[in-house]
Amino acid sequence: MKCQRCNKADAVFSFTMIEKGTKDVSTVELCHVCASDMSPYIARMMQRSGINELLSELIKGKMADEAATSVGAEALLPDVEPCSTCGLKFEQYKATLMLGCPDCYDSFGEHLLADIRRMQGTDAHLDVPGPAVEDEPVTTSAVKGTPPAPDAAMRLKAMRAELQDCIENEDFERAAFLRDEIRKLSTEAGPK
Amino acid sequence: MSAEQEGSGQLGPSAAGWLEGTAPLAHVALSSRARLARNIAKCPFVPHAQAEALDITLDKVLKAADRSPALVNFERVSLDNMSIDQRAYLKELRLISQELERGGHARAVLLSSDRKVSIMVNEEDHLRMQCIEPGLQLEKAVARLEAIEAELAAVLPFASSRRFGHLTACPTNVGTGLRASVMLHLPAITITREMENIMAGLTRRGISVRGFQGENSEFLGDFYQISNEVTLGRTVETIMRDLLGIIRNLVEREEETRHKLAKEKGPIVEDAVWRSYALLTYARRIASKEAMMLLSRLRFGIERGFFPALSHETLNRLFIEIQPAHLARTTPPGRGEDPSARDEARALFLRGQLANAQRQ
Repeated sequence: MKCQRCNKADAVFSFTMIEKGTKDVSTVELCHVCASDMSPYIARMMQRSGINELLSELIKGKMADEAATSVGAEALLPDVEPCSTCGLKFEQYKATLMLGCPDCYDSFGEHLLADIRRMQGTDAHLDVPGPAVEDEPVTTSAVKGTPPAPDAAMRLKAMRAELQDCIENEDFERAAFLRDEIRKLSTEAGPK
Repeated sequence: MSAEQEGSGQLGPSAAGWLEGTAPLAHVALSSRARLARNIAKCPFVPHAQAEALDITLDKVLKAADRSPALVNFERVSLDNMSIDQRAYLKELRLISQELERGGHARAVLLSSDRKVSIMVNEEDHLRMQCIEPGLQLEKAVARLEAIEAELAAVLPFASSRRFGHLTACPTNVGTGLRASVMLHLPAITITREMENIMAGLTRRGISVRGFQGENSEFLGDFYQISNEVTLGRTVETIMRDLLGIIRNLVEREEETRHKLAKEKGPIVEDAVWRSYALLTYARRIASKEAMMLLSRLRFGIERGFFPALSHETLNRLFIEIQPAHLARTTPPGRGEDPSARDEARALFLRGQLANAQRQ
């Protein structure tokens, strides 16, 4: 069907709005240009990935909740405290995909981690300690209240998932590389 | 920026440093680029920062550059002091991004004298450091960039954490802050449509593919910018190794397909090359999209020895030099704005460059 806003291109996104209070539901079908206009989130992701990746992400259902949150439905956003250092609200981050200051990474906790996982396939950097910022207390857990993430275990999990994919797609060169990396990481980390 | 901190903004006769010199694999690779994103510790990120905060970060960067032997002689250019044409010129050369080209408060760029390194200040992050080398020389670009980053890190505290590595305004860059990319010219595997299939596989492996001007949908001139998407949870070495493996694969496939096309479809390819050459050397008006396509065909002609006076490197330069701001530098002033005047200027330029391509 055609986009309900411009009536020219084919619709590829479906936005569902649930009215706060009355819970009335209305749906609008949009093409990727109009969807980008209505959702800065989608506009941003379109900038960074092609339309094909965007559509495959959507099909996997990963973006459905984010797309809904930027169409004026603030009631659907999780209740997250603004950053204690710069005051940026979580909605402001969501609308632009830009954080306000270095401390936002800690402030927004698990909700930001979900985005990071989707963008990067992991939610932590390497095992080796990065350069410490002057005068900052070094914490082993970046997110208060949660245990420190076992970086190696997470990477192993991601690599095993990718290996499965490669075998299914007959990308044996990549599969061989992953198999070697997994072997290396497993022996370093000890028995799991 | 104070008057003594600014450069003349003239950029000299040419800013095209990276287009010169030997370019390894010039027949398939136009350029290799490495970019590192860094932010200054305890300072607000650019996108939501107030003007005063941006003045502070710019000042910190300039003072750090003063104390850094590698950077003290870089030319400093404030975006506000550049004309639209000058900004577009730098963007066409990939020395600044489209984002920085727009200008804005406290935005500047520091350029190395050989014009291969550019350090953008207050783009999306406080620092976007970039090194471009011609052809396939990604390791060289990364090495130079890391050396500069190390010098700056000694005089400027970067925002980072143990968990996330280097902290960036957008989480898509967090961790290494590295975007490594190579601009490949792949006319053969575009024609045979192999590239369509390859692209889907690349996205699954965390590699992004963009067009000549960073676009998602069109691939003008059969150019593909191949870069890493993932910046977190990997070292710079791993990112580079993976990317180069894929690049080498693509180069091989392109070379094989060029041979195959020459062998199995020789006459058809030859005809396409000469038709392109004819248009390029006789047209009086040519838009950039068509020019890119025609120039792309010439690649096969160079490989077949039709154009002894035209090298792969020269062809690569032409793709850059037909862009609007480049043409404006040679077009008489006042005519540059009118698109049809630009198309005429482009045709004139190409006739001049290609007329003698067949001479020994």
